[in-house]
Amino acid sequence: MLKHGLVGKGIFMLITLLAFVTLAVLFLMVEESVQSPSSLALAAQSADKSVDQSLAECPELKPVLRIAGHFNEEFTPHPAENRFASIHYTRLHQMPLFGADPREENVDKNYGVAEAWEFLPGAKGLVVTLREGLTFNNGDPITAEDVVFSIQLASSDFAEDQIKATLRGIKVNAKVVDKRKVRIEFGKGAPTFAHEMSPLVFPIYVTSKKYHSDGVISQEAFDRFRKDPLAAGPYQVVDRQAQRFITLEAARKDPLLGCPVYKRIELRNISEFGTRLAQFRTGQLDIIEGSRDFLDRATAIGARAATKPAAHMIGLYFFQTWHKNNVFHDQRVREAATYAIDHKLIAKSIWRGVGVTPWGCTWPPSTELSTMNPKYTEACATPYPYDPNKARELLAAAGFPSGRGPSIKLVYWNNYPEEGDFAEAMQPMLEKVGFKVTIDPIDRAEYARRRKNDVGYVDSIMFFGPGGRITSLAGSYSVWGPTQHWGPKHDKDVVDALAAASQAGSVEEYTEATARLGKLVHDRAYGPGFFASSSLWFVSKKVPDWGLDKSRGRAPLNLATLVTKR
Amino acid sequence: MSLVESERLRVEQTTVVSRRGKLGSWLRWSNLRRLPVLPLTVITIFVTIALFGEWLAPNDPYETSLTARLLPPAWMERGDSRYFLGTDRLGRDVFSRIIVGALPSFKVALAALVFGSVMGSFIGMISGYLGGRVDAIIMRFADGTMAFPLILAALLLAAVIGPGGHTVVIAACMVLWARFARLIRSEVLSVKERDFVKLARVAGASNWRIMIAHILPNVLNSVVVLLTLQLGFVIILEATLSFLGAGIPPPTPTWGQMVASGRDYLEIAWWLSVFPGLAIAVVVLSFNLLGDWLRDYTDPRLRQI
Amino acid sequence: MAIRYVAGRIVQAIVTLILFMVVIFVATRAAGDPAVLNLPADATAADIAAARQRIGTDRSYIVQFGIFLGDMATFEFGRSIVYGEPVTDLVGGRFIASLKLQLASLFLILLTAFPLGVLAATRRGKLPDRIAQLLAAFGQAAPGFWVGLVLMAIFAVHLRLLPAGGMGTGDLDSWRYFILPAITTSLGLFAAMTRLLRSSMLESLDAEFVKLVRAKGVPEWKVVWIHVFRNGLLPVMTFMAIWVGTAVSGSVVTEVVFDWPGIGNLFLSAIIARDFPIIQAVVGLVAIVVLAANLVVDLLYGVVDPRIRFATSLMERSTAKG
Repeated sequence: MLKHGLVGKGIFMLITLLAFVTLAVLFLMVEESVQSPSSLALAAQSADKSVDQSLAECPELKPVLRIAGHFNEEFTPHPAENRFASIHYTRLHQMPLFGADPREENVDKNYGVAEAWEFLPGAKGLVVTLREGLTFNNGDPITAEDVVFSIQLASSDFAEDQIKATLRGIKVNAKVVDKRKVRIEFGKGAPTFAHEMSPLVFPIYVTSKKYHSDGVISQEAFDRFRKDPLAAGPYQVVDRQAQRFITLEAARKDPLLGCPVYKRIELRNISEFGTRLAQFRTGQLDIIEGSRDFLDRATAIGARAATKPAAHMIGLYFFQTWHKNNVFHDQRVREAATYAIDHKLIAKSIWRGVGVTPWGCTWPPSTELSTMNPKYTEACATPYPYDPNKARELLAAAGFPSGRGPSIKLVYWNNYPEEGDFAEAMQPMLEKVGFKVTIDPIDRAEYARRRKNDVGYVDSIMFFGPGGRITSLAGSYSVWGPTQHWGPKHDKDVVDALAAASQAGSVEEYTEATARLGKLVHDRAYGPGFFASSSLWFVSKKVPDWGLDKSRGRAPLNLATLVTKR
Repeated sequence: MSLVESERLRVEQTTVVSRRGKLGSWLRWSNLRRLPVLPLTVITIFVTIALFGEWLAPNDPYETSLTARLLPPAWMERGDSRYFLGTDRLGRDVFSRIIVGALPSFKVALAALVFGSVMGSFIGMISGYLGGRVDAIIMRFADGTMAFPLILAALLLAAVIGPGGHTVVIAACMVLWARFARLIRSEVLSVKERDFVKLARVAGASNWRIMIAHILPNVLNSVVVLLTLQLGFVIILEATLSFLGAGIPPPTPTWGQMVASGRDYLEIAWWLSVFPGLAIAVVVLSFNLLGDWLRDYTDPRLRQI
Repeated sequence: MAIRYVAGRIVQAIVTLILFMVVIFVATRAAGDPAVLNLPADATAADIAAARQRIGTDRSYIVQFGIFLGDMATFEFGRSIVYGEPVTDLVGGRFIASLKLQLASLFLILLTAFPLGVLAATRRGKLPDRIAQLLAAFGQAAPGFWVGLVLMAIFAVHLRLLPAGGMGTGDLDSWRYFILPAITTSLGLFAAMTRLLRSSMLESLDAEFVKLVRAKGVPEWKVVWIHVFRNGLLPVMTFMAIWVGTAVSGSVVTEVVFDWPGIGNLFLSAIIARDFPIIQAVVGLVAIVVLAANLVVDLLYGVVDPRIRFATSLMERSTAKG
């Protein structure tokens, strides 16, 4: 009788649970037959767009290239929604207005829709002549209307925040002149426009007005395009999921970039290095974002290391130095902190000395243009030497007796993974010369809160990227400019130099101004320097060397020379 | 002696017996001999290193050494006897960090338990004693708080008030109070009907006096049992939140954080994640086993929970 | 009357849901201004104002709450602030992925907790019982993220038997991807389930005995069957109610460790980025499902055992250790 109860109860429980599981399995089987909403309609795509005849002219395509890194982004196929970091794949399926060579060494008219351009006086605009005979992947010709429309798209409410803010900030206004000419006007001088709107920094891509819901600019139109995009390039997007992956397939022999090399390219976001490495080892991935600690390991498992120089820039800043009660108001204290930091040792410990260059001035950021002027490199390239004795002397001169230096904070908010280690390595260096250092990691919300009040960043050394990549266009390096409560607005020389930079009428004027600015920032130690580190990739033996280390663009990766062949 | 007086004496005697009975039996030697030795030893070690960790750690847990990065434990090839369990990516001694990392977990656990148990027991007592509407509402509330996935709630909390020890404590309390409330309430329900309570009420004692003087001592042993059982839970919660980045932020070493930062190095430095996690598992297991033993020991009836 | 009981419980559930919504609303807004958080550092005041207008945070809180409630009711979750895509698009696929993992783990739990729990109860005090108890204790003591990492280190990294994270293609070919994450997710509930089964079996043994002694004249099979029905169903329902909560929220820890494209993972990134719409959608969804599950189980409970209607509530019968 006892057994009856037990067995009976046991059976009953089992039946109930199994029933539940069966229901669930049935549900899932039904779900499988329904397409997931985030992937594109593959069938529709391949039916009308791919297998363009021109592909036949290309040499045989390799099957697939799989890449994984920490790409925490939307993977959107809509070019105006793209973040700056997505250049490496967006330029494979979209055409930029202002071209750059595939290696991203220079602006190159041969690789863009714009065949030629001429600046208006004072660089208050330019007139662009379009290349003839270019088409979108569906055969439609690229027209002047499309170019004007694309600029409107990039300035619209639904475009990515940075490019939208920049274009609106310089009050851009585009007009069709004739079939081959477009006139773009700015509200103020922007001599760096063509440069910064190219794949070297943050490109404007050309989108078909007709295909984009016949020229409608609305959230629905963006959604529609995103779900069923039109490509203009050797590849096209066939599948994607926000924050997870994007898949491209070979589409045509492109007039600008040439033949695709792979039939399929898969880009995945895998944030854990361990997982990436494990999948790399089993051959599931060909290229992965690497880690410097694993360089020895990489060669042991048959991988090559490839680096893209200056892909990441961590800058150190003294903000709000105009405050009298900010210890960094005193230049001697700033210099003391700068001399106390052993830049070379940090480069060796945090980045293992691989692909990292310490620089002197913290800002202006070393955009392509600035570094082209040797005066800028002269002013900014060399960080202060490591001299703890001098640091102590300076602190003493500033009124801090030996060993009782000021209390400061090292503040960062997870822009880069190295920041934590960085802070922990810097702390003992600063404490050695007398500073009392607290490490203060904050999150984005706290960063915004401190920014709102005027004194949130006193007594701090802050880690930061070099700011918006298009700050030169946004004018006056708006983050550190006089209106933004961060930069040294009390320093008349700096303010004047900033004004000169933002009002420059030509590229030469501009780079002269930024060099002057750099020298000021360096000499007056408005920041203890920055580190330009290269991105590091582990590449399988199957993949040939495509010269990533020569690339000068700002994105962490550049695939163009690997996956296309002109 | 009048009838009333003898009754009163009987009540007091019963009360005394009921108040002292359990504690007395705890201390009987024959029972002490059956102590769970292993868990108690581990717990003692844990508490000791939590309180005196700073002095016990062989190396400075914060000192970085760029030449001694990622060294394996001392008994392995390439290991260094100075660093018993190896070093992390900044060259810090893992063993010392584990020792020093015991304290934050311990503090958070203690704080959470104190607040959670006091609050929960109090509410549970009121709920059980008053019964009726109040009881129903309170219990519904408790169920609601407990049903919602805790990590989700804790992350949301961390987003609002920022990560840190206080976040973990509040998150833990959100569940703890309900568990204590429920337990105490059911205990109170049964004790409430006992003779000595009824007699106390007849004798004119106020509700408060009854609750504190009569009921509370009898539910204390359940509270102690639950406390031990929940300590492990809070330690794991803290570790999990630290792992996810919502717990105590760096540079304070906590076990959960150490496991998280060792993640990328599983292939070349597995000891970074394995040992801190092992520490968590062993400590929590010991507390759970102790709690189990306590429960069986003090009242076999409670085995149901 | 049964109907009054049912109606009462339903009203309670709705009230709790609305309270939840208030909490969610306040919490997400107290967490920081998403307009500032999601714009680059050099955004001007005009940019921030424009962003606020786009997101809708420029209106008064009452209005916002009204809109929020209306949206929740119509399952209109809006667009992710970070990704600009409709939340339903983002959440849909993720939710399915999480559910698949949870089902795999449920399967695993049934397979293991069942025999273990029964064994432990029938061989009480002897070796199988001790082993089961130890396993259960370990399951509750070891932190999930650690076990997951250790499993990954052993089976994926060093032995290379199983993939190291990810979901593969998500269908039957990729069953290998499910193994380690499923084990990691099941640990806690496995331990709880084993204990639950064990104690419920033991209780049944005792009560069984008593009932048999008392039940003279009443057909044996009837008593046993009714007894089985009640006591067998209740722990099961309790367990399912707990499981549903985890199932719908995904297991954040497992998904983070194994890079599983589920809802837990999405929630974590949404929290970091203060992406309201996603946070609200996920929390709201979870709240609704949890409340509904609890409501259903409560009602069944009340129906199955009238005593319970007046006395204890659902969680009384579940394990306190959770």
